[in-house]
Amino acid sequence: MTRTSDGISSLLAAEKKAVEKIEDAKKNKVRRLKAAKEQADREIEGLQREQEAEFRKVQSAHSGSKDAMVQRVDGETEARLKSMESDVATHREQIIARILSMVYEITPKMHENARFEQQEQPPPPKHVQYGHQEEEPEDQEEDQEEEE
Amino acid sequence: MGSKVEAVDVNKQIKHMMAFIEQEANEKVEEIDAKAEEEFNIEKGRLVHQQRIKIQEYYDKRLKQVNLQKKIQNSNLQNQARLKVLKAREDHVYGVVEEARRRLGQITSDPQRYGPVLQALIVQGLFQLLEPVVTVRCRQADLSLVQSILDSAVRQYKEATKGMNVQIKIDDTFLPANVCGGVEMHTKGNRIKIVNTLESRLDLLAGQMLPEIRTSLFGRNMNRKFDD
Repeated sequence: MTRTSDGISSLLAAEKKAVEKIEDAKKNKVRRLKAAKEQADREIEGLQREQEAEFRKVQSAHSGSKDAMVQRVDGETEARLKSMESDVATHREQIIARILSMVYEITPKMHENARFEQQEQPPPPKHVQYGHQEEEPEDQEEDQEEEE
Repeated sequence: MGSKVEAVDVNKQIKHMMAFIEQEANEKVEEIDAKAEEEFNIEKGRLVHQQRIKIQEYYDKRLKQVNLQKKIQNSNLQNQARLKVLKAREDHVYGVVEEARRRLGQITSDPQRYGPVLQALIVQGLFQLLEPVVTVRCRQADLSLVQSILDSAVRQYKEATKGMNVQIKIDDTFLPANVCGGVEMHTKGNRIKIVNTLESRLDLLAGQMLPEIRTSLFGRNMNRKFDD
């Protein structure tokens, strides 16, 4: 009888060992899944750093070019202003003279719709300055026909 | 008898069964391991891919912003520069007008030229008023010159109106000394007033002449489409 029980205990032992092996494998599986996340995280971090570095490069390149642009635009503006000054200096006197001549040149014109009929000719009235006494008596003012 | 042979048999059988159990276990373990690896790869790949897309989007967006900023800055710079140039232009134009204003009084020292100017100013006023009695106000310094041209002025008026008469009175209040020249005229007891000083003429003219001033100073503007 001991031989049979030997046999059975060997079998039981083998069964136990098998079950343990399988349990281990399952635990391993769980560990592997966890490791997947950790490794993924590390890889992602690396990617992020790469992109950030790329981005910073572009940014600093950009700020460098901005200064260059400011200088360029300023230079162009200065040039334009200078050329304007010289243009003005050349023509200034001429245009001032022209303005003044237009101020002094006056051509009185009657309104284009005004209509007049030939008047009789009463004597022209005297010119009077207020506060000054004229010797002659004032002429009577005649009513005048006016047509407009 | 059978027991020796049976014993060996049984041993063999047991050994077989043990081997079988072990083999089954190994196969199961292999399966589980293989599955584990597969899931490991899938999960890792999925997570990385997911985040990679997010990172890419994020930096794309930031890059776009940076470029947009650049464009905006550039545009602002250009704008400011243009405004600066335009302002300088306008300053030059008004500088010219101001200089003309400063020199306005020059003519008053030359009675030969100034006389006709005064006469024309008065006649212009008469034409506008068309009144029988008109008061003329001038500078004290111009009083005698004005008196000397009044007759010709009235004659001019009469001719243009086919014979209408006008009585011109000279106001004993004078124009203040800071006026450069010219006259003011009024009638109907100050109810109608005409300002015909040199300054007022300049103001009117300068406004109308701005396009001409600009063209003289800077040349014709090739970008301008309408000139009237």
